[in-house]
Amino acid sequence: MPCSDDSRAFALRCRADVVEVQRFVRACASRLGFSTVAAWEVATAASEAATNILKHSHGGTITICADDASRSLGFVAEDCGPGIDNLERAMHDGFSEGLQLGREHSSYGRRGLGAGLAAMQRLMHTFSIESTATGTTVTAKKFSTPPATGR
Amino acid sequence: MTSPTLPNLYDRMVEILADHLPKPIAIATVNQALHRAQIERQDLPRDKLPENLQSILRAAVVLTLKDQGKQQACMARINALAQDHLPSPAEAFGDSEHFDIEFESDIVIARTRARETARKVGFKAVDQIKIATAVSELARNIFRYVGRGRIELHVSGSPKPGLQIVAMDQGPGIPHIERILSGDFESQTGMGMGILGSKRLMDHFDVITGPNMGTRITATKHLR
Repeated sequence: MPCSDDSRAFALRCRADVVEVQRFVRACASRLGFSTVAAWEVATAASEAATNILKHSHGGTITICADDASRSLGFVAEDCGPGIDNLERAMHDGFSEGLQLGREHSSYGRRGLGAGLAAMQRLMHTFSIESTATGTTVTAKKFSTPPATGR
Repeated sequence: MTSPTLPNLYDRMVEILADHLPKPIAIATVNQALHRAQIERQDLPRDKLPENLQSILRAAVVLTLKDQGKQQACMARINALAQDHLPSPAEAFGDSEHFDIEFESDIVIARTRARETARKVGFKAVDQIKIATAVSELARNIFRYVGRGRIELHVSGSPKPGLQIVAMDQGPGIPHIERILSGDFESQTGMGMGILGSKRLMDHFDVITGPNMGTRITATKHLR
């Protein structure tokens, strides 16, 4: 993903880091000319991805990629967790591994919206997920001006 | 007829340091460098200065010699010791650069150059940003807690191509470093967060710190 020099990577350890990520995304979005709603959408998707990492793995990173040339804002969220067993099911709304395992299996107490991956996909223009037994990478991007759909 | 014996590597290292330090301290410094590099004296190669030992020795020089001129003279001889017999990977593959951190603007310069170097080495964009972020966190730590120090970037060609960041200062050292690195240090001031953050962004991370010896942080990322 192309990105400008003021892009930044975050190591995720606790809720405070997620707040930092959100703050940084909103700052980038406003600089790139995103509408308030679009900025909120990217911030929510990035925060969801970061929260997922806190919940399901023992830490990971999220890299916020701001690209001045294409006026896009995206993120790459990577963890070394156990991977997602059933990716197809996980992409459905209402599925949450955290809910299935119960609170005691989660290093992070609070439950997410249960709509994580599918919602993330809807909030962003591009979305891809790659999950193996050694880790998961979520990549997503949004343009300040929506790309033509070609229809 | 016996072949003339060259002074061995151990003695040559001691000799270099002893030019600027009392001999017992020079010996102790070399011994400690060997210990840190996990090399036994008898296992020391005859003429090749191992890479990790070289970098530890350089750190020791920076930390023990306060005088800049002496530091440079000593450093040049250590480099020569390594170059004569074993070009360091940085020189083999590319270059090394360093940035003095003294003003807040130096952080931005170091960060921008780190990204640029990472791009040249062939890191993909996400890793470039991770490296740049780690450099800026380490530089900010120096600026905030010590006031001045230095960031070095080394491009390494072997065993794996990659980029090494060295952050050094002559400050008071970092207290609770073990707890900070293990992640269970609850900092009120944010101190330590930058270190742990950069550790997680890089592949390999090593800290040498202590009261009166300053801090040297080495962080490496390999090309995947």
